Amino acid sequence: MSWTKAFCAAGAVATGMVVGWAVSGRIAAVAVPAVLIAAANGYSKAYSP
Amino acid sequence: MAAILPVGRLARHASLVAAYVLPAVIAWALLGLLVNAAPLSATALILIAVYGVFYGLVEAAGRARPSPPGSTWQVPSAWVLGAPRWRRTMVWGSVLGPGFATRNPYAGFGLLPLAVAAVGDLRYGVLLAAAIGAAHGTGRALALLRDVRVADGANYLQSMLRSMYWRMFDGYALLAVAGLSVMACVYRL
Repeated sequence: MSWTKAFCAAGAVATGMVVGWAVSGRIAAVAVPAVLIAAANGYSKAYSP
Repeated sequence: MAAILPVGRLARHASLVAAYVLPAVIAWALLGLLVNAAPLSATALILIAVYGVFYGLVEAAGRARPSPPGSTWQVPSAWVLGAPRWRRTMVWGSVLGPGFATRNPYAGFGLLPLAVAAVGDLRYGVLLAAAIGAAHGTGRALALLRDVRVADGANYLQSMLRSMYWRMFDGYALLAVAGLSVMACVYRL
């Protein structure tokens, strides 16, 4: 993994932690991105039944 | 003539989206009911953090292995061969809308049942699961409409490139959710 990618990965985790801290660890903080991931996951799959 | 009228097209698109969304909402709501009946919230939060960091790093680094958990099963051709269009749509919608049975190229999908289990409340768990089902089914149906509109064999390389970008996006999203989950663990446990 390159330094740039490692830095971005650490930044993503840190962003999640800061947001989690800002909302006092409420479970909604996990629920909202889960819905967005579900939408992105459905949309990004190739059409291969 | 009726085929090119916008209202007819809109109705066809709406029925296609409904065929994907309704089974997805039902299947996911059942899962929400199942996983929130037991006290799995704390375990699920820890698993989200571990899963998110592991697959997040794999996807963000652009590595192909290990593959995300999933199935390689595909809709048997006998189920749709010679079937009328409405039945083909129903079969594909029921199987592809929820997203459990077929191939999942991105690890983000595996995080979703854990997120549902992490809620720890039956009513909100079922609500979140239904929302995830609706989001996934809608996304899948819109992707199908997109592919039908721009279907072109020459776009294969572009499609591969887009898939790599989606995978990287999925990886960073997993890492961010892992961070969120760690903080939820800190506050809850």
